[in-house]
Amino acid sequence: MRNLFTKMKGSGILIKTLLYCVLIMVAVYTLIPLVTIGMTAARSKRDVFRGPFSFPSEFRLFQNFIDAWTVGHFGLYIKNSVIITFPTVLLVVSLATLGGYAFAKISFRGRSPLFYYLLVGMMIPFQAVMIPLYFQLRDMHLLGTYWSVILTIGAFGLPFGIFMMRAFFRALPMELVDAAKIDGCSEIQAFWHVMMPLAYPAWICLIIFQSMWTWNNFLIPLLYIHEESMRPLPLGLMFYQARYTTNFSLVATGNIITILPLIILFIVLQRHFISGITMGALKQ
Amino acid sequence: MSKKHSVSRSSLTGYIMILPALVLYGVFVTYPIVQSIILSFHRWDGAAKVKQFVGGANYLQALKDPVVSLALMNNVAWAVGHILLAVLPGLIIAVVLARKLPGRVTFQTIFFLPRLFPMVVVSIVWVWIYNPVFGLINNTLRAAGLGSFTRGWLGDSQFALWATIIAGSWTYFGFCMVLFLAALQNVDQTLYDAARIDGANAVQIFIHVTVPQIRPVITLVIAYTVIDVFKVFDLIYIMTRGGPGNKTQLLATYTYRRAFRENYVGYGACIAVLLTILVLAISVVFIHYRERKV
Repeated sequence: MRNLFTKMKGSGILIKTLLYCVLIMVAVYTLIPLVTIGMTAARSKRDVFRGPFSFPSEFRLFQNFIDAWTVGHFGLYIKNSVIITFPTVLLVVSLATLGGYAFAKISFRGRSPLFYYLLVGMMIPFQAVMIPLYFQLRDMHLLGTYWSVILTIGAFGLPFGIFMMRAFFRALPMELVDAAKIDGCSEIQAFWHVMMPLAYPAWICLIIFQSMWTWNNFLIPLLYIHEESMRPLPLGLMFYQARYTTNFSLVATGNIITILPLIILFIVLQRHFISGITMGALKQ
Repeated sequence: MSKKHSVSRSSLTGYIMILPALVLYGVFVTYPIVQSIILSFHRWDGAAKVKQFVGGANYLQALKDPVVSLALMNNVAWAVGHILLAVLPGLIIAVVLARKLPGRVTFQTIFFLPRLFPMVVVSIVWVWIYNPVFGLINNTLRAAGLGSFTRGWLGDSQFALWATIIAGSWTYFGFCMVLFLAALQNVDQTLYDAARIDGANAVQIFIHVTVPQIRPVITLVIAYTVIDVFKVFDLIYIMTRGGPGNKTQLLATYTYRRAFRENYVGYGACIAVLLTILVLAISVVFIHYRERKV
């Protein structure tokens, strides 16, 4: 009996060691590309050709960072990304809150067909509209403006936003609204004073999800923004790496400038990030 | 009377609250979809004053276009590749991490990290890894004395497609893992205890307890993956532009090339409509399947 017990314990440790080995291998696989960027960004142009894991003859991370920032206009691209992301998120959150509340708590004729009409949008790939939208934006004199991207990304973010806010408001008890109405609130006042202050948890998820989707969007600005000085970060990085294609350390530094804020934000807000992003997929 | 009055007033409020969303959605989603369908029955270069109506000619051409069928097959390979290289490993890692091993949050953070990055960054790094001269893979092969296996992975018509699939799955398996971890938290722990008492080993528990318990989420993740893969554009556009010789071309990148690079606007719209129908069909099959299960 004692013999059996120690044997089991031994095999438990063996299995744990094995599991850790697998986990560490996967972690190395995940991190190698990132380490490659970091190692490349820290060395001189000459050293790069000896491979990212060779010993560098000089440490140039800060110099490369300054060079990339000045020749790459990354400050400008970040500014453009903020100009696009901030209004898009504001647009989606406000319209989705209004719509989500109405679909959840107010009864009106055609409520469910209209809801399903919006819901189909979650399944529509952007390619379905990409071609005629180009000419439509041109005719609306929006082509080449930030608004072309803000409104397009916003419209495609709405179905999920409304879906999520509706689910959130539905879970709140109707008695809250009824009590407010008995106290003399109108529908709008009940929404504004009673329901809105409760909506923060849902907003945080929606804001993170929509910000990520907007910040990383590539195809929509590629199609509708042509001015070099208006490019958002991913687009700017793409053209930058095409221009400095042989200067790997500068391109690597550009990559770091792009992903570092995302990594920091993620580590700080990890719990919210994961629930915001998984909700985008799980709740469909 | 007064009750009826208040109902109609509150339903008016309802309409006003959904109106902004309906307008934005109508102008930037619904209307251009209708335009896509109309455009797909025309021949147009995007500049001429008149769009020439050609009936179903674009669709007939698409059915015979070898690049369309190649792109479709590549999309299917992407879907299969992502199920094998991201969904399955994501599930296994989630099961391992669900055992509450010390350090699980660190591993979870690391595995999820690539999902945060814009595809531009992912593409650039993987282009480097595959680089024939100084890329990590060829360097490693040379160091291991396997120099004869080195090649320009992205330029090689045999390997290019799978090279892009591996890059895509690298950003995706951690995402699958997080979805599965969320699902595993809701599984009744007593089921595991019961199975263990019955003498089931880890593999048996995985197949007979874990998988059936989270089957709805597994189906959901697979459906989401298949749909997501049909929208892939950035990674191919930056890594290969569909080359070599359309070997990595996907429906989304081919649509873009036809419509915006070669100015076959009507034909591009036709492929876009086909792509949309395909995605909707997959979604409907999935929803139907799920409704039937529930």
